[in-house]
Amino acid sequence: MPNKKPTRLDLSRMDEEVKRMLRQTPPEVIEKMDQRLQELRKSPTGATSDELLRKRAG
Amino acid sequence: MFERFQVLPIGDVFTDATSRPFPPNVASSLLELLDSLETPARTAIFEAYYIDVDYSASYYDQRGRSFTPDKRGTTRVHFFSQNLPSNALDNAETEVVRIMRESYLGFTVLRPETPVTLGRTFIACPSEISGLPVRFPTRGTTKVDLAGIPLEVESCPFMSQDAKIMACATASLWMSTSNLVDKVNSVASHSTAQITSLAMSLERPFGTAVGLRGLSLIEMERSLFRMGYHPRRHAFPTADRVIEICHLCSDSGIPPVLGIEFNGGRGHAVTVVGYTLRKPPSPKLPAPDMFSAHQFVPYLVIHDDQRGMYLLAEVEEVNIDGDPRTARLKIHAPDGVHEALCTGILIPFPARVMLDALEVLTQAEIWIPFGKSFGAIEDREVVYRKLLVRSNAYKQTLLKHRRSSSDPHGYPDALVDFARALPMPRYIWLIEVSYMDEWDPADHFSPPVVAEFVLDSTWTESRRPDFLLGHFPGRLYGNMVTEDGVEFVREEVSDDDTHRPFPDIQRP
Repeated sequence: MPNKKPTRLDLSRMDEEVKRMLRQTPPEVIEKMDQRLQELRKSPTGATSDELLRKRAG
Repeated sequence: MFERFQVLPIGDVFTDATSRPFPPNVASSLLELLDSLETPARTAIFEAYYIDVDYSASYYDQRGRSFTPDKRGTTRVHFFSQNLPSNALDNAETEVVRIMRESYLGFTVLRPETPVTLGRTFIACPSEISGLPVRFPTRGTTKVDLAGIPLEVESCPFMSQDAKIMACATASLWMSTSNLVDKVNSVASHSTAQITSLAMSLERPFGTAVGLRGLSLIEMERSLFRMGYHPRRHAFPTADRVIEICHLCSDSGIPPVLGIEFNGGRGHAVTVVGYTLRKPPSPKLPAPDMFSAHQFVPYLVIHDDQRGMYLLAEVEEVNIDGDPRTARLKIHAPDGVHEALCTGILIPFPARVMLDALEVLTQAEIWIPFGKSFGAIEDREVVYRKLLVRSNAYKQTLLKHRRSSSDPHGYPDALVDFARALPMPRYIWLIEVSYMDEWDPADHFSPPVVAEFVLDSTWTESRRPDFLLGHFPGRLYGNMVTEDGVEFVREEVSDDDTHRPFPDIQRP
């Protein structure tokens, strides 16, 4: 179900927060992104790209 | 005058075992495809002594150097969904030409080898496979001339290896990049002989050894670099990552190459050209109220040079003790299901696309909850998709589909003008956000968009939330990049409403 529409106050708070995020991102947000990237890039078994490069497709 | 051309009913094609293309699976998949198209093939025209651009390049590198002469000409076979008279080309009357153009389904090149193998093959994309609707954003248009009659077909190119100058790795790279030539600036068309020599740093890929040994991933990557792409590799991806990356690449019009291994460690490469989509009752959840569109992809559609074209492939998670390969592909070929483990993904991104797809994902995971926390994006389940788009195409599309009384689902005026005014790099990442309950299963490829984010693809490492343009309902935010730095700009959008998703166009 649709929520109530955001008020002008909500939107003006969002304006300030977007500006702040784009300029001086809070450290906790950066840390969260770094952790997520590491999680996404990590092979579940810890295998590295070097091992992949030796494999051949024929 | 037209003895070189032979018009045959489709039932008489490849009936002779010696003319049937090899491997058998490929021939079967071609014939099954021609029969399963929305308008199935009825007629074929055989064009003898066709000098094929790709086969010629291989010929001059190898067989053309032989003391004993070998055949240089190939046979090209054109397929049509209408019955054509045997003298269709002799009497190319206006009506016959019209029928040929309207019913053209594409062509395949038969290499003059024993057994015959399939060279460049451009057959129209099926609208469904095994009853499932399929999507091919990687398709491209190929223009063909048949005895002065201009024809064209929309397809995802296919070919089999010849196991001489090329192996499956070369064939898969050719299938991946062939349609990109018309879409990506600054890359030229490359023959399979060139792809192999670029991969192996050879002036000429002599000998049969090349075809027999195959290419390593690093050789394939090297070839793509030298062809002008900026390849990105993902090693030992999980099943979810395979689907996610293949889905976003397909939506970007870029066919990724999958490195796979069959039992016994035999390496192989296939090209992903599309996918099927459905709205399942209970998808896995990355977050309680946020879905990625790839979670609704039950099958990828692949070209496998040894097993056939437009084949469904399931991807499932496996856990084999100590094995780095955790994604299993189940390829549905004409002769049954073939299982292989995925070793890596290779993507031929255009030059200077440096922002990784996974970083794009993290941006979506930051900005969507952000919009929700202020009530700008309503507290409903959302689904998002991400794709790489040429910025010119993005702006042109916005302008072309500006909202109007005749196009109520077009882009709002404020968004159109805001986006057009912002400087952008050649390629941008686009994240589109939609409400799940507005995803009509009958039109499930295109949910309406409620919010979107445009990211700079030339960023090497973002590591912080950043966009060139952010559109939340009621608000537009932008980073106006100038020589002096970046200026934050903002605009209100009155009467904001959902709009059409970025269309499935053949991108420039």
